[in-house]
Amino acid sequence: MADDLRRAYEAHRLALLRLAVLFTGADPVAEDLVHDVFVRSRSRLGDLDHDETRAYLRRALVNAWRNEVRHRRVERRHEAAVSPREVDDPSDRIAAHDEMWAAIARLPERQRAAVVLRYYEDLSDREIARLLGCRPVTVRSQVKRALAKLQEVVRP
Amino acid sequence: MSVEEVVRESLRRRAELVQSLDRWADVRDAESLPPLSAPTRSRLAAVAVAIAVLIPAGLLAFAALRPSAGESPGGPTPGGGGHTQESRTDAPIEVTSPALNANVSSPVVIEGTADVFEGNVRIRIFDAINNMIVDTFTTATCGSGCRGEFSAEIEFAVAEEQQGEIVVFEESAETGKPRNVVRIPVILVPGENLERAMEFIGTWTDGEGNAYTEAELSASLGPEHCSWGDIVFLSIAEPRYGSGPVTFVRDTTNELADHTERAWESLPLLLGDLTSDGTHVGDWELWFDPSNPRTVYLRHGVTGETEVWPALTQQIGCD
Repeated sequence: MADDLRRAYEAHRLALLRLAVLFTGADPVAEDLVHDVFVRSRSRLGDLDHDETRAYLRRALVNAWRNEVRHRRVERRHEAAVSPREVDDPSDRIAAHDEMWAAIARLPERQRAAVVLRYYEDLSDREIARLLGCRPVTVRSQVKRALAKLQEVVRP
Repeated sequence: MSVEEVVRESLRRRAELVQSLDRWADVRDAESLPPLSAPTRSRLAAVAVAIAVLIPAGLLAFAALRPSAGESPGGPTPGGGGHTQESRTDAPIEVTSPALNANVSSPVVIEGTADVFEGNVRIRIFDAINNMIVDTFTTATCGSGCRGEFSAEIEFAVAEEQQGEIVVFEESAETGKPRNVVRIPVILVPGENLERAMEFIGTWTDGEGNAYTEAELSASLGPEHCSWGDIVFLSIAEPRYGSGPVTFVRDTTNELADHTERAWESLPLLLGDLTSDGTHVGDWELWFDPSNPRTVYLRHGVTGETEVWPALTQQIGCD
C-alpha cells in the first residue's frame, strides 16, 4: 500500500495541487487539501491504473474542497458572532497580478469550480455535473453566469 | 481574444505558479492514522466548539430573527436598502439578484452591493409559512464607509414549490437589531438535490423482492426547518447491526459534519471488497463494506454511480 501511495503521490501531486489552488485561491489551504486527499485515498489507490487514479484523486479533491467550503462557512459564522475581524484573503494579493484571476477568485464557489473544471481540466458538462453533484444543465447555467461576470474584465 | 480564452490563459498561468509540494514525509507518517489527518481533525473540533457556542446565542436571538414591522413593513424602506429595480444607488444594501418574484432553487446565488459595518451582510430565507429556513451571512468586498460587492451561494430545501422571501440586512453593531432591510419575495422551488434524495424515499425491498418493514429498514427526509429537508436518513436494524438500528445519512452539504465520522462522497464506480444482498430501492442498490460497518454504499444499477453514506455517531434531533 505504501508503494501505491508513493507512486500516486509522485505522479499526481503537482497536478492536484494546481487544481486545488485554482479551487481555493490560497496555497496553504490547497496544500492541506491535497495532503488530506492522499491520506484518505491511500487504501484505494492499489486497484487503479494511472488515469483512474487521476480521476479518483480529482474527485476526492472536489469532495475535500466541498467539505472545506462547508467548514469555512460554519467558522465564518462563528467568527462573526464572537469577534468580527478583517479577513485576509490571499486572493486579494494575487489580484494585483492578474485581474482575470482576481475576478475568478471572487466567483461564488460552485461557479468557480465549474469554470475551473471546464477551462482548466477541460471536462465535459456531464463529467463536471457528476463531480459537483448536480445536473449538466446546472453546470451550463453556472458557467454561463460566471462568464457573464468575467466578461466585464475583458470589456475595453 | 474571447473571454473563454482569457479565462483559460489566466487559470493556466496561475496554476503554473505552483511549482512544488514536498510533504511526502507528512503523507507517509500519516499512513497509520485514521482517514482524517490531524489538521483536519483539529479543524473539526474547532467547528464543534463553534456550534456549541452558537446554539444558545441562536436561541436567545430567536425572538428578533425576522426583521419585521417597524423595520421595513412590506418592502424596502426609505433610507433603508432596496432592490435595484426600485431603489436609489445610495441605499446601504442593494440586491441585484435574484429578481423580485423570481423562481429560485437551491443553491440560490444572492448578489448585490453594500456599504455596511465591516461589510457584514446577513441573509435569511423564509418559507410560505414564515419558517426561517436559512440564516447566514456573507461579506462584502468593502465595508464601514465604502461600498463593496457581495455574492453568496446559498443552499436551502423545500419539499414543494411555494412563496418565500429572501431578507438581506445589516445587523446594527450597537444593538444587534436588523437595519437597512431589503426584502425580495421569491418563489422557492425544490432543487435537484431534493429530487435525487426523493429517489431513496420509497419501498425498499430485499433480494427476493420482499418489502422491508419500517422497523427493519426505512428511509426518510429530515425536517425542513433545520435545513435538513434534503438529507436522507436511512435506518437499518438488520441482524448485522445486532444491538439496535444504525442510521446512515445522505448529507451532500455536510450539514451533519459534526455527527458523522466521514463525509458523504460521490464516486464514479464501486471500489473495494464490498458485498450486497440485493437490497434496493428503485435502481439504487445497497452495498456494505464488511470491514467497515459504519459506512454504506448506494450504487445506481444503470449508471454505476456510487454514493458513500456515513453512519450517524449518535441520534440527533432538532426543535
